[in-house]
Amino acid sequence: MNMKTNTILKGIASLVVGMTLAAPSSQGQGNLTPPGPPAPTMKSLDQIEPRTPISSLPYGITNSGSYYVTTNLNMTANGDGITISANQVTLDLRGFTIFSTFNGGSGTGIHIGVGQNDITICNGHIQSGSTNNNGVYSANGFAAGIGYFMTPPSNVRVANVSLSGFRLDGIYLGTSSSSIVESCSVQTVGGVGIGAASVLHSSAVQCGQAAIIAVVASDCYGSCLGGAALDVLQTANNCYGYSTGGDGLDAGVAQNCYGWSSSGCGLSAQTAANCYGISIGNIGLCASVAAHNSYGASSNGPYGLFAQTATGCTGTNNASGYGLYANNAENCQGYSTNGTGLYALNNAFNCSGSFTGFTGGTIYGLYARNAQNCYGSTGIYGASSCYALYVVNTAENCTGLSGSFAGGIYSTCALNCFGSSLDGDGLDCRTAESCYGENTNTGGGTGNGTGLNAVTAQNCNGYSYGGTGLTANIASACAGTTVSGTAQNIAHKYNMP
Amino acid sequence: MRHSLPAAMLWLSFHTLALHAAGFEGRIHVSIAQGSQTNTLLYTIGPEHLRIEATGGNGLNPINILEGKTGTLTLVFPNNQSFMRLKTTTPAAPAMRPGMAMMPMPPGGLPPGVGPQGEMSAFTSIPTMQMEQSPGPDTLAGPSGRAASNPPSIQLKSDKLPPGLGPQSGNPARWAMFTQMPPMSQGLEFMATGKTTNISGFACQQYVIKQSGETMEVWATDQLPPYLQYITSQAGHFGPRMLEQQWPGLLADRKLFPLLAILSYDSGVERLRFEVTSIHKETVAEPDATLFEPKADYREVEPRPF
Repeated sequence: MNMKTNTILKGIASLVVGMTLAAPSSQGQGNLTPPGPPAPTMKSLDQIEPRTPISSLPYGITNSGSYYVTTNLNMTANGDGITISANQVTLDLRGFTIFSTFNGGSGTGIHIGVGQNDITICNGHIQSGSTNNNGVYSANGFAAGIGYFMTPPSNVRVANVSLSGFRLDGIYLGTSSSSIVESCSVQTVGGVGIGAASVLHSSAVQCGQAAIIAVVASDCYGSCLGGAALDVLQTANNCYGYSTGGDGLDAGVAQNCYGWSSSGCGLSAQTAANCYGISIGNIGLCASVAAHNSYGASSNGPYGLFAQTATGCTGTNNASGYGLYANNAENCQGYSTNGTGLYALNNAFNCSGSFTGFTGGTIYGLYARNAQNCYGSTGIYGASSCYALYVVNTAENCTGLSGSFAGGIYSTCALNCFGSSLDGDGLDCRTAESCYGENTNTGGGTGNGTGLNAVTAQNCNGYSYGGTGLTANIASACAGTTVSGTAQNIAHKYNMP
Repeated sequence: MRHSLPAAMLWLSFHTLALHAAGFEGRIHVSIAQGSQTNTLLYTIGPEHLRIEATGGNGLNPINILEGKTGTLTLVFPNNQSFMRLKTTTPAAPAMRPGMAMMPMPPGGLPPGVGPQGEMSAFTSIPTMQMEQSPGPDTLAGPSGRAASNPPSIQLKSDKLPPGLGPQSGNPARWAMFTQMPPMSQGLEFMATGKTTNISGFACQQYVIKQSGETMEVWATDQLPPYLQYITSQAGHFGPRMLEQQWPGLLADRKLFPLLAILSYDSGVERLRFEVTSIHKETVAEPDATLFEPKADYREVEPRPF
C-alpha cells in the first residue's frame, strides 16, 4: 500500500466520523416537551351507541334511549321490576335474568306504561316463582312477565326472551296494535302465555288460559289447561296447539297446523288446509267454510271432521258420532265405530264411508243426497234399518257392501251401482239402471234378503241365495238368479223371457 | 273462552232485572253430560245476583257472577287470583268472528251481479267447487305425512261385475257441477210440542229444537230465571255453531230455564244431556260479597280482544 492510498483512506474515515458527529447539529431545533397527556385513539361505547346501564331493581325508564342490564337482577320487594314510561326505548337484557320470588307479588317484570310506543325488549330472561298445582298458580314473585297498563302499547317488539313462573300472563302486548313477539318461550303461567298481533317462532307451555293469542301466528307451539291453546284471529301457519280445557287451535285460516284437545275442538277454523285435529270429547277438526287435505278424529265427540266443504279429507269417530260430516265431500273418507261413517248433507263424490259397530237405530256407512263414485260399507253388526250406502236422490257408480242385516245400497235412483248384503237387501231403489244387487247369505234363516229390489229396473241383475234375486214392478232386460229361493218377482217384463 | 264471551254477552241483557221477575231464590244443581265428560254446576240465585260455579273439575273453571240490575257478568278465576268484568252489549249477532277483517268494498258497494250482494253471512261466500276427475279416497294420506287410518275393507263377493253392471273402471265422471249448497246452520226450529209435565215441583213444557236433521228435546219452565249458560275458559271456535252452542240462547230468549234437555244421535245414543239434579228454594241474603264479589286481593284483568 502506498502513501497515496493511505491518504485517501484517512480522508474517508475523517469524513464519516465528521458526518456522524455533525448530524445532530444539522436537524431543526424543536420543543422537546410533549404537547399533553396521551389521548385515546378509539371511540367509547357511549360515543358509538349511548346506552344506559341498569344494575338494580326497581328501575324506571323515563327517557327515550337504549338501556342495558349489567347483571342478574333480583326484585326483592313487591312491584314492577322495570317500568318503561317513555317512547322509543330499547331494553337489552344482554343474557341476564330479571327475577323475583317475593311472596304474594303483584307486579310485572317489565311493565310498559300507558300508551307507550316504539319499544324493543330483547335478549334475556324473566323468571318468577309461581308454580302450577293442578291448575292453581301460586302468587310468588312477579304476577306477570311483560305487560302494559290500561292502554295497549304500539310498535312493540319482544325478541329472544324466555319467561317462566307467573300466575297471570307471560307476555301480553295486546293484539289491536302493531306488536311482535319473536323467538320467545314462556312456561308455567296462570293466564295467557303470549299475546301479540304477530307471534313468530315462539312457544308457550303449561298455561292456565290460552297459550298464544295472536292475529297472525307462524311456527308456534302452545299448550294450556283452559282456553284455546292457539287462538289466532287470522292466519296460523305451521302451528301446534294442545289444550285440555278448550280448543287445541283456533284460526281463521289454518294451514299445516295440528290441534289437539280433550274437551274442545281439536282444530277449529274457517278454512283448514293440510291440517290435523284430534279431540277426545268434541269435534276433531271443524271448518266452517272448507277443509282441504285434512284429517279429523274424535274419540267420543259428535264429529271426527266437520266442514262445509271437504276435499281430500278423512274423518274418524270411535264412538256414536259421525266420522266425517260435510255439506259437500269430494275425495273424502269417513269412518265411525257406532255412527255414520261419512255424511254428506248434499253431495259426495269419490268418497267412502263405513261403520263397524252398532248400538241401535239407523246409521249408514255413507249417507248423501247425491253420490257418485262412492263406496259405503258396514261391519257385521248393522241392523236392517241401516245401509252401507244411503243416497236420498241419485247414486251413480257406487258400491255398498254390508256384512250384516244392513242393506247394501238404498237410493231413489241408482245407475251403475253394486249393492251387496250378507243378510239384508243388496240394493233397494225406485229406479235402477245397469245395477247389480246381491244377498249372499248361504246359511238360510232370517238373512234371505232380496238381491235387487226396484220399482223399475233396466239392464239389471239380482242374486239371492235363499231369497228373491230380483224384485221389480217393471223390468227391462233384467235377470234374477237364486240357489234355493225365487229367481225373480217381476210384474211387467220387457226384453226378457 | 275468548270467543264464547261475545256470544254469552248477547244473553246478558235478557237477564237484566229478570232475576227479580222470576221471584225465585235458592240453589239449583245441574249435571251436563257431553261426550265422555260430565260436569256438575251449582246455580245460586239471589234477589240481585246469579252465581254459577263448577262443583267438580280441576279448579280452572271460573265462577260466573251476574249482576241482575246492570247485566254485568264477572268471571272470577280463583286458580290465579284474578277476575274479569264483561259489560252488557246490544244483541247483534256478528256474522263473522269479532275483529275478523272484512274484504274492502268499493264505495257504493259492488255492481249488480258482481261479488256478494247485500248482507253476507259467513256461509254464503263459499266458492263453487269445480269438480274434476281426481284420485279416489284410497290415495289419501293424512297431513304431515301421517298416514290416515283406513276403515276396514270388505272383500267383494263378486270379484268382477258383468259389463255394464255396477261401477266400472275407467268410467269418466259425468257428474254435473255441484250446486250451491244451503248453509249448514240454517233451518233452526224451536217448537213447543204442547206436552207438559212436572219436574222437581216445577211445571214444564216440552220443546223441540231441530237443525240439519238433528233434534233436541227440552223440558223447560218459566218459573225460574232465564237460563244463563255457564262460561268456562274454553274457547269457542270458528266452526258452524252446533245445537250444543245454540240451545241455551234459544231458551234465554224465551225466558225459560231447562230442567231436562237431551240431544241424541240417530242411533239413539245420547250426545248431550242437561239435567237439573236438585232445586232448593231458600233465601239468599244480599249483599253477600263472599258469594257475589271477587276477593279483595284478586287482580282485575281486562277482557281479551277476541
